Amino acid sequence: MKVAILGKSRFNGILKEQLSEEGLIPVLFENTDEIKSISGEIGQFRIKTQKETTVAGCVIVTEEPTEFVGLDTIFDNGLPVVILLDDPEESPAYMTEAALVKAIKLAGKRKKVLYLSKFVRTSGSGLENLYKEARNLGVVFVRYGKVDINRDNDTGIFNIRLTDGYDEIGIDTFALIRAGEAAIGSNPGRIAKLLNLKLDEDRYVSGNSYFLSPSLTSRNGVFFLGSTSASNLEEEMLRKIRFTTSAIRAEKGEHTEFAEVDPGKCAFCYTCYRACPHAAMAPDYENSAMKNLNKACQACGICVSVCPAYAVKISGRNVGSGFAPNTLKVYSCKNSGEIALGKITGEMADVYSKISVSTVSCGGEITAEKIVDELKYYEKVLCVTCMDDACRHHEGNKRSRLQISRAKEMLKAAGLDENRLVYMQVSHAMPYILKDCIRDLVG
Amino acid sequence: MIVAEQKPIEEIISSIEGFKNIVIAACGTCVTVCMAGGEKEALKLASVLEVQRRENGSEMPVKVVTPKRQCDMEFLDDAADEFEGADAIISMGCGAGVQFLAERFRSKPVLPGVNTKFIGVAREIGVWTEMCQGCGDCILERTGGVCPVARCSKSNFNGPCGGSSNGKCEVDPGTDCGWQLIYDRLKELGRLYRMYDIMEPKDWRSSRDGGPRRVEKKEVRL
Repeated sequence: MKVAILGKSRFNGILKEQLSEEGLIPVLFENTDEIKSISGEIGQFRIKTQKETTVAGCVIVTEEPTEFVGLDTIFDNGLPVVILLDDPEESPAYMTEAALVKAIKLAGKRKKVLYLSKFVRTSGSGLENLYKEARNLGVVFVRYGKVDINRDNDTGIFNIRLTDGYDEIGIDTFALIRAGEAAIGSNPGRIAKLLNLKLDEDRYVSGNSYFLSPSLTSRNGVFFLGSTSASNLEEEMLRKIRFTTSAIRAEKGEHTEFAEVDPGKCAFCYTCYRACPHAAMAPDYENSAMKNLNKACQACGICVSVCPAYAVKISGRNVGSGFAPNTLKVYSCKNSGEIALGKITGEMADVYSKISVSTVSCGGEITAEKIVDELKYYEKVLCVTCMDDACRHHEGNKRSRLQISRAKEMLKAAGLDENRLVYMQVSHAMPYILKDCIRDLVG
Repeated sequence: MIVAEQKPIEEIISSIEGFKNIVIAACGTCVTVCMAGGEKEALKLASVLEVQRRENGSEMPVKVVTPKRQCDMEFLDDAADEFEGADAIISMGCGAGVQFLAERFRSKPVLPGVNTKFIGVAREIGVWTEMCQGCGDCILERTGGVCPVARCSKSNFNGPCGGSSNGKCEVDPGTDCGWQLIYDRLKELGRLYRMYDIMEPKDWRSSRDGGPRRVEKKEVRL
């Protein structure tokens, strides 16, 4: 399988070597300005330049807007490595854990490490021990309220200004590791647009999944190694390359669930195309309708929920409603609710006859119309999605929250009890909160 | 496209009071795309009405029918069977759709489910803005492709009024000044000199002032 490498980077050589070792064929497009368009999906991306069209199974973007600074420079200068958890709110536990492990690893190599975060999070298994280990190795923890980062393009030094509302401190570093690495600059920005990648509010490609899956993007088969405010650490880049090559190797492209568009109903309005976090919708001009790129589709159902013509369905799945003399209908997302429910099955045996559970890939699939419809058959409906920033499908959880509040509005306007709809966010590690909620609802 | 917005549920509920068998007619064209009256919205409304009726002791289901367009009679003919037995029809189409349904099904009251707003475009998911007022005599050639009739709050024809400030309109700070847009666009095109052309008072007879309008294309009429 061919793998396209897009962009200039001093790591392209290592990347090519690693890909070749895996039996993959790297094809380098160093000058990304020559690329006119990129279409297709995993397994068959078509990259068009003026001269020719190349078909590649996967795409890795390595474009760098700025030069990397060598490792020697970093440590000759005696500047610290800075780990910055710059989530808008409290960082998720998994990210805190990954960041602590990284801090410990670097501090163990006698590097000065500063760990900046907005909250000290200890509610996670083993986090307390990790903090202790990091402190013992000399990692300095700084809590901040606001952060402002500037980069001097001549020296490559990041100047970080922190304030907690009272004091302000400045830190200089060559090596900045942020929660959401791989911010988009102008050059990689063009490629991101060609690839129709979803960016988060801070214009990061990988968003919150950075620490665990450093090069994943919103699209199957597209990886992002380039960055602007990225770490300058070579080992960091090597970690990303290792992750990427093994992710490509693991990709078998087996998809049993995907969205299907009924061209007879489709109004060709582009809403699904705009909303799809995985760029899995494409115009089909022959049928004057949208079509789904099955291999790119992750069956999150966001298209199902936004389609105004009711033209999209997830194949192989039937989450339809039907009469059941039960008390509570539960919709739970695969990423959180389903796992949490699995943990409390035994303890819920006595109420199982009263509830009916439907699992959806993502809360993004839940629509106001669907949950209101359930009220014909159930006394109450509970929708359980993952926590903010934990959605694998770019905020499907927030979409479901909006749909549920719209449904509540409609019930209220119709003089009905809006409390018959309940929305909650849990992580897979919060089964007991979910259990209490379900017990409350079934009485 | 024609952009519409769903009516408040309370209003719809009070309009169907006393009618037992309700059929909701969605429309598969403009109002689908602007998410006001497509099949999805119609099903949502039907669900709420059914749940509400069930609570009040009525099991009567609310049916949804979606003709591709409500503004072409053949689509309504095709769906005619579906409306049989209806005591009232809620049309989720634009004003044209509501009236055409009423013409087709004369014995049934046809009630509007949406408020028809304007001719506009989709700016992003869930946001539409007005672009055209259907004045019947297009002058976009003179104004850099930005319509002063629809996009200037006062429909001024010879430059902005005194309420234009920092590119925004005094009527609403969220609205761009139409004449600022015209100026910027003409500048981009290198055609700023068009600003010096004085526009004569417009003959509004081509617009609503001439009464209900009719367009006839002679060559397709036998």
